[in-house]
Amino acid sequence: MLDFIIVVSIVLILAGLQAKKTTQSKASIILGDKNGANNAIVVSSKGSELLVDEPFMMVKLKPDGGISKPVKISAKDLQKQFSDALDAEPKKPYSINLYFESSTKLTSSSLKNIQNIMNVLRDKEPYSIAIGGYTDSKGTYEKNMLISKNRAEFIKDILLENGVKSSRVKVFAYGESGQLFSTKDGVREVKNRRVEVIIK
Amino acid sequence: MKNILLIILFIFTSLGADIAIIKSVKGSVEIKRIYDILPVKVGDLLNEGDIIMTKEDSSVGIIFDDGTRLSLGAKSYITIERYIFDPQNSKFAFDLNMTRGKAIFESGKFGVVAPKKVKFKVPDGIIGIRGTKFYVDVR
Repeated sequence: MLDFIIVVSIVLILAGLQAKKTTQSKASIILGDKNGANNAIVVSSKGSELLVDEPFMMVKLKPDGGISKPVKISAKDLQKQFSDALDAEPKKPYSINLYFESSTKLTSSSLKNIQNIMNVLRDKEPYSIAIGGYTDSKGTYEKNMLISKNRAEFIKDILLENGVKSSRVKVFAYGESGQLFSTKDGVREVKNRRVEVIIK
Repeated sequence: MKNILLIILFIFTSLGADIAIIKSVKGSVEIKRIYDILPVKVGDLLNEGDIIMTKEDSSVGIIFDDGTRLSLGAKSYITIERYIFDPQNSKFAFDLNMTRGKAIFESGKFGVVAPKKVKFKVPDGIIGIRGTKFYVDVR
């Protein structure tokens, strides 16, 4: 009889623990602060959806579906909770724009910036480089895509000639999308004829 | 025969395509890649499909091709389910799945070019981004 009671008690305790476990939210999500820049996330859970667009607002996901009401937490608590992940945060990649007179002819000031890139590379070792080519809106979409790729490849070749390993470089063609200086279609604009070199 | 070789070559090149670089490591950090478990160090490259695991008192910082930065605290477990960043062909996909641990995510070009293609999965939900930095804690 005693055995039976013990077994039943254990089962009940385990069931209780299990129930507690399944009603506890596992994930909490906090929107970061980007110094006033636009920042927002959309959190969805089993059919419900919530836009979080105020820094330091925290939501929790309920295992039975649904999202808790956002609550504000202090920057200090956030730092405490995420201290190890914060310490591991990589530095923001270095980014520089090189501008073009025409298809693959660099402006003279941008030509000088190539040396700056080589200097930065020494500090970023071991690095990985993303080269993004962009065009202005003059010309067709397809042609601009090709020009932007050629521009990016042109800069890649310069870096390789300076001793950068090709396995550490990737080229991305954006064409006339992602313009820095927004214009109407068909407009020549030197600020948009560029290659962005991002060193990670 | 030639076709088979091409297919094999294709499989290898698609598997071998790196998509991110490890920029910081503290303690013990490993990745699970297909059947292997490998320790990682600064400068190592990650592939689509890799699972990143940090142990106690360990952390890791990663930068993806588009410039997205991801850092993980101790005892974290996250899978890079999909990562396609191909602006030339307008192909984008970025699915992360974190089952445990702490993460800080800050989007790069994905946040500008294709924010709606980013899915950060956690137990019981998904986080979508609109050009963003956020923190996730999964217990």
